[in-house]
Amino acid sequence: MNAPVLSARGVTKIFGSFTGLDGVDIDVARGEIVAVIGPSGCGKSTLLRCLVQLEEPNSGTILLEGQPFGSVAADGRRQSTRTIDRIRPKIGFVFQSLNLWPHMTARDNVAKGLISVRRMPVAEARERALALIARFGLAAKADRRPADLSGGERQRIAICRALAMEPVALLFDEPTSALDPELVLGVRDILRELAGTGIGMVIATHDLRFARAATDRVIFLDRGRIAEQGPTQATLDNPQSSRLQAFIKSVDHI
Amino acid sequence: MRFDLSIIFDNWQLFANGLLTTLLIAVIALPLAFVIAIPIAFMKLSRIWPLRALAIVYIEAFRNAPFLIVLYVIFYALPTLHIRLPALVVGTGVLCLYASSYLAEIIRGAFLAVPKGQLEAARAVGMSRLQGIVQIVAPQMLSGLIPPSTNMGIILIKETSVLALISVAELTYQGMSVQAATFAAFEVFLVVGGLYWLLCATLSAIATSAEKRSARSIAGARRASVADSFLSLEPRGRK
Repeated sequence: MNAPVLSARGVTKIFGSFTGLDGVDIDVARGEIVAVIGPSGCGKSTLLRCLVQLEEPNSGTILLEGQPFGSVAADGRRQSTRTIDRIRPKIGFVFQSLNLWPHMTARDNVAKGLISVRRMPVAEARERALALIARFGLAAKADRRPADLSGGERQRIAICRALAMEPVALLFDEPTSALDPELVLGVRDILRELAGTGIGMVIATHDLRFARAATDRVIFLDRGRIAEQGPTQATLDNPQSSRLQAFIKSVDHI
Repeated sequence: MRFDLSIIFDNWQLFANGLLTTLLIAVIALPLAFVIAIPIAFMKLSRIWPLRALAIVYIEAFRNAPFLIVLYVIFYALPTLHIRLPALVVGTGVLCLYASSYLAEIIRGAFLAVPKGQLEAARAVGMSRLQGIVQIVAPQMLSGLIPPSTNMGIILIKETSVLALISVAELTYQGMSVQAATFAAFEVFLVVGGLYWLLCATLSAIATSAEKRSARSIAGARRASVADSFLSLEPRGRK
């Protein structure tokens, strides 16, 4: 077992009087694909947002390649905003609503981070962006705006935008929720290919068929806590906790 | 009633001077109001409550009194503080502050109209909050900013006429002086009104073309058609 690329220890997030996450631990190995499943409101998205520090956890530690990200492990003090901003792109984030920038072409969406954050010369960044887009079979559409792309194409551009920053981990929030069913297997193939390059992935989803097809391990979140976890196939075939049994049953009815 | 336009031609220099002064006031006050409004808007959006409170006090102080009253209060208060400035400077300054309180709210609205995820996506690739606002959110604010700002500009041009009451020699003041000398109120104010109309119509023509250009640059990111029917400067149905 290789060292985890991304881990969380005791991550807790409280919104007012509501506890969104309650002491969640997670480890993602290089090239591993972890699904986070659970009913809506269970904390899937909050966990992902805490992992990239778009949401500041109330307590707990995030470790990226063994280094603290967000707060310093030893004394729990928060790192400076600048430090956090510098580390953040090492964890790519693919939003549920993608959040592509509508006023830029696909290619510029992908190049923007390299230009603004890495200070790469514009021509070189756009070159790299095009190469990345071409890898996903969209070279012909690189100069279109997001509005002129299909849902699946947009998602691949959003993945390219995250990959341009050469992340070591990638987080997906509900990647199949906006896709036509026939595109879901395409997403699985992309994830598998990325896993082959060593990127660790966390995928928040309530699509159990997709989780079975695409992920190695599953974590079941229930009211902000991990209620059960294990290898995807075995855990979903033979759930131990009554909560997971009930969840699987309720989702299967759809 | 007599209608004698020769009165206008005989005094054309006064009208021209007035028009230029009015134009000068507007051209200085409007851009300056924007410059002041931007920090005020972001103060009101700030998570730090004293900044927010300051912005609220500023906006509500200027927005909730008639412009004439705000003008009088400041114009007559300054000499008691031993600050002596020309009426033109005081008038332009107060107009600028007054407009900035409205513009701050317009800017805040345009910022909030850009989906939150746009800035988060900028943060996700490593941009700072400031970088994200300037490079990603601001360009998308333009289309929501132009129509209400144009309204503000038109209101500002018309409000310059109030400065006549502190004897700034702008268009209305010149009109009043010609009228006092000739008693030709109808001719004078018809022409003065026409000149204001000309200024405002020019501004809105410029804004309409700017709006079209910004809409083209954000193809596909346009406002929802419902919002468009309320915000657009163009008459409905013509697109």
